[in-house]
Amino acid sequence: MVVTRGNPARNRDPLRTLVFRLTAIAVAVLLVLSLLASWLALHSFERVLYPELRLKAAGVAEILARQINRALDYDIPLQELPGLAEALEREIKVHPDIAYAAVEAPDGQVLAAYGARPSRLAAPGGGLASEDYDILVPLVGHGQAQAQLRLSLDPAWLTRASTDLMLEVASVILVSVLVTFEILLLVVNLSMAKVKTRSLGAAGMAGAQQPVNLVFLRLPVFLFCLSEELSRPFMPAYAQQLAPTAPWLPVDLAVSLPITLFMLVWALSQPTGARFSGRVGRRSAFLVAAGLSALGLTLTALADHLVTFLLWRCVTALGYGLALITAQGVVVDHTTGKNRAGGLALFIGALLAAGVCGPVAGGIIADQVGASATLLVGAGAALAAALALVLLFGRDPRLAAEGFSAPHVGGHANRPAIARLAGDGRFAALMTLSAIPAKVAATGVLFFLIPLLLAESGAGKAEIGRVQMMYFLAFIIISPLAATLSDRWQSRRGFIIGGGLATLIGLAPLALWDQGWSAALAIGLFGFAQALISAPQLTLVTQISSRVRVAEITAIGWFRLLERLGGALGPLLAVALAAAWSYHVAVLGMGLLCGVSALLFGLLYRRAPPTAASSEMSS
Amino acid sequence: MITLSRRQWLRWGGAAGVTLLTGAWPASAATSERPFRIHMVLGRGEGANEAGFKDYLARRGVRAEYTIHQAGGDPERIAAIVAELQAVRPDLIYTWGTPQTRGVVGAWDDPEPDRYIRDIPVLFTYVSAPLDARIVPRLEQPGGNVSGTIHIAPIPAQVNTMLAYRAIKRLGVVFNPAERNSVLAVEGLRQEWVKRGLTLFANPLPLTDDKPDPADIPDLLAHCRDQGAEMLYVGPDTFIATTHRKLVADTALALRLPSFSVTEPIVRSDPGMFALSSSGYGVGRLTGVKAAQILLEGKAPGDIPVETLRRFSVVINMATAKALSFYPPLGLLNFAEVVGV
Amino acid sequence: MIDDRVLVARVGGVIAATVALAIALALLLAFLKFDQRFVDVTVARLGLVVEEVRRQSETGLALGLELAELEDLTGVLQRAAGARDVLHIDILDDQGAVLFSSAPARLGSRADLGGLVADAGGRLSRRARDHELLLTGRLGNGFGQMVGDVAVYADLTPQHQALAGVRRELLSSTAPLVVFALLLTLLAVFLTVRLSGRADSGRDQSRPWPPLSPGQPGRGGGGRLVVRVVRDKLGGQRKSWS
Repeated sequence: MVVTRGNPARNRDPLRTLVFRLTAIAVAVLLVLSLLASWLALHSFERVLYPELRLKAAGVAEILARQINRALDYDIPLQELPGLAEALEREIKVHPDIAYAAVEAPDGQVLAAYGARPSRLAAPGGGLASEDYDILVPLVGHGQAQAQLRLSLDPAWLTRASTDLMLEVASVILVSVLVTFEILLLVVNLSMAKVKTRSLGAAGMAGAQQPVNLVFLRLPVFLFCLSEELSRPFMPAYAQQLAPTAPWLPVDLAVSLPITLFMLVWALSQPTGARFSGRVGRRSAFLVAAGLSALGLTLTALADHLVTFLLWRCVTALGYGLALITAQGVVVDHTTGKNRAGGLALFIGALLAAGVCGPVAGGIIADQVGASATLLVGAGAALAAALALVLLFGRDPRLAAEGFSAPHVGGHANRPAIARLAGDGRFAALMTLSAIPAKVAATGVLFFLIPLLLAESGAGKAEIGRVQMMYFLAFIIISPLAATLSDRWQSRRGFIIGGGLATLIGLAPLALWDQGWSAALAIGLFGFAQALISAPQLTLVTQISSRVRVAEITAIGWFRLLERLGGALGPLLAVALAAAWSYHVAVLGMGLLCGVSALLFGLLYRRAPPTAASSEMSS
Repeated sequence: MITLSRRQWLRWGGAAGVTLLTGAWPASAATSERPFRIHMVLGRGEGANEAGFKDYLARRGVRAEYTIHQAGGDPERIAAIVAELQAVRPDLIYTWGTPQTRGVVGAWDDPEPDRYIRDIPVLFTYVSAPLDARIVPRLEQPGGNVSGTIHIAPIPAQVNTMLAYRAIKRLGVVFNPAERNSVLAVEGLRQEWVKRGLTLFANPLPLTDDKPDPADIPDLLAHCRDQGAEMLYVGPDTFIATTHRKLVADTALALRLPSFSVTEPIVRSDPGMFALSSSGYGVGRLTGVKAAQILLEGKAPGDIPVETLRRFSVVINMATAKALSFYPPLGLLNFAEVVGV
Repeated sequence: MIDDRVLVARVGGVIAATVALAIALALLLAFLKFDQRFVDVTVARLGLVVEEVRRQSETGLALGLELAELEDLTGVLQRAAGARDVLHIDILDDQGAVLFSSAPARLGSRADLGGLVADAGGRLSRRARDHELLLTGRLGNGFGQMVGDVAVYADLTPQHQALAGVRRELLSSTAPLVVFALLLTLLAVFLTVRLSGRADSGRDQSRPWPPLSPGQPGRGGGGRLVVRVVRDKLGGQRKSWS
């Protein structure tokens, strides 16, 4: 999924190639099959829906005819009857499935009309002629037909309904493909592991310690992240519903608090979580984390008061933070400097795949069975993650306690490290002008404003999930490319500035339009912009860490911690802006924050002494 | 919210105190001992308003004795009635029309309040502009001992109805400048009409000894049409809309000038073209609702808002519309009551 | 014995299962959406009946009559109850008692209004129980007070039958399709694994790999991809994981 930088050998990995090919087969079969199935489904739907639509339109026609007949009974000539077109308009406007209404004289002359008569071509392939879309009712005065009323059903309404259906089907397919990929990767690796054991055993190398296959970590991480991502499309709205139970808290704050607290607990739990997972062992730590998350999600689903809801969100966040730091710890434990990037890429790949699948699947599930049930599904996913870990690693001693030294993320021992990092102007500039604004925008817009803004304009949860998915989709596609290009062009600063400005450009249109494709497009662009920044930021952190003589992994640990703490501000800032103006303005504000701080970053980062950089290079 | 409920609580507390002292709960009077004494001060005999009022109270189980006073808008006769009311002290006074109501309760800021009824609940009806007539200082919560109902539609609704019939630009009015409510109505209409960038031709009847002459009506209507008026407005003006409505309607028809009225007799019994009015019976019932609040629930009139009906009926005289070839639009026809077919 | 056939079976199984599940889910979802839309159209049609009865009742109320006095409503209800799928129509007072009904036996009874959900527009409320749909609309008088409700009861059996028909039809038309596609998937997976194996063995010959250990299973020809991959992988791992 995520192509690893500086390790082109992985690209030729035959296993991955095989998995890609197999995934391609799955995609092809799915596409063909789903197209066929949808075509069949739409065909039968239309055949049943159409008579019902006709019946309804006939009812509307009858109401209109009764009104006009009244005028005819008073001997008002239809040619001189004012307001005829307006009456048609009034009636048609409340029925989106009717495209056209007209009063026609016996000679065929149109006396009044509203709407556009659907053309013969617009009719979909249901085998219906355009006449089939018309309803004709005679207009009668004093018992004599004097004109006729024509109503035309809107074939485009049927098409729109189908488009909506197809989008939903496409989301299911996308999620299936990603899930298939994850499972295939695992199945192929499992098969390989068995062969390897045999072949190595036969070759008399049984005594040698095999490396832990990190691919096996992917499924647990994927499932675990899914448990949280499922609730993305509705979490703010869910909190909004509970807001009245805590009247002493302003509604806006009540809505933003769950996300803010989650981010805070997650960030703050990192140093302790890292130590804990080092002490009790990765396996136990992950199981504890999954248990905490499952418990938190279950109780969140059952919470009927904002305070308990917030409490259970914090428990979930604790589990989430612990699981991620543990998984990261496994990668760090079992990789060396050379292949660590590849290991982390596997880990991040699972994270992003869950980011794509979670909101889409969660939105669809929530639309069908409700938000609480979706949270329970999430709890199930967390437990499944624990189960997957147990099944895949068994009682592997290398995941047990004291297997490896504690990771170098955060912690008391590293106090001087943060002092050294903070003392570096470049680190401060990177942190405050790029990393934190980017994270603020990400949490503020993606997790908070988008669900509220779209729900306000009438979108369903599935639609919100689809829009949120666009972010991760863009991220998955762009980030490897951005990483490679920024390496090749040696242009980290440029990518970071560009990403900040692209965030502004992506989000600004949302301030005006949030209908249909525009929101999905804007969020896709937002994901694109954030993907530009991500890898170059890390590279800069590594460079800085070597200059201030702090271990790379420690520097990155601090970078992530500070970034997440900043991210906790996102919903708060968003809610302040939204309360003062509107959701739309808040989105624009987030974009401006990123854009302006990117420009400032460009100005300040340039001023860093070039000599320092060159001396660092030579040393 | 809180102040209101506190007031209610105080009132209930007060009423309970009365009950303890006198043993008489106001509401129980309806079903037990003596019937309520209601005095009606009318201008033109009993009509639909009074029928609606009495029917409503009868349905609520209120036993009442009605005493009718005919005032006919004569100030001297009204003064005599006020003196009698002060002596009899009925449970409720019902007044019909602006002159009777002003005569009984005076202006709310009148320097000599003793000349009027200030300590007996008074409900008025058929008053078109109680604020302008200084009968109450506010509609929402009038204070004092007076509340009531307005029988004509709010002026914006009148203007909307005229414009719904046709998007006209120029409107003509002929009115009696000696009638206070008529002058106020024309002033209100002018503000609303001009606000929408339209033209109003207001033509007061000439007065001789403060009295208009019906003979001036045809000339003034013709003048209206010559000014370019596309429609004639007949306001809450007793001289034009009630006393001489046949002359007004016939002349307008002859001049091919469509007319709009805020009261309906000119459309029902004469060839006025259309009207926006509330049914007299419905307004009477609404007044009855307020009477029940005073008599049964012990509410103070000052706490009862002055209201008009939420719904008005459009009455169209189809014979006139046909004669003028000036047909109502379908939307209006849809919910209008059609007469003169 | 691990060879290509096992891999094909496993991978093919995974893909087939996911594909089948995805199609089933997609169809289920599409059906649920359609179900919702279909019932919405029916509700919109029956909503016209509610509106019509409301319009006629409120005309009477605006004239100053009490709801209970609108005697000619019975005729209105009986006419309106002739609309398709309508079982009966009631006029309820503000306590839920039936004042008028197209079915005279219901007069005086009390309507069960539990479980009603207001529609987005707020003008109608609805409730579906089994095959019975209840649609209500509030009635206001000339003072702007709510004095009662129009309640239209409709029979959704025809709609439910139509939906069941669609469900059957979808199952019968897509099931063979899915089976065929799954077989095709297995074939495609088999071929891919084979071809990958061949390509790899072709490539391997040009590269200096250590010879397979004697105990290694294999019947020659194409295939044995997994084994080659493992070797490939181990080679890679020796380089990078040491």
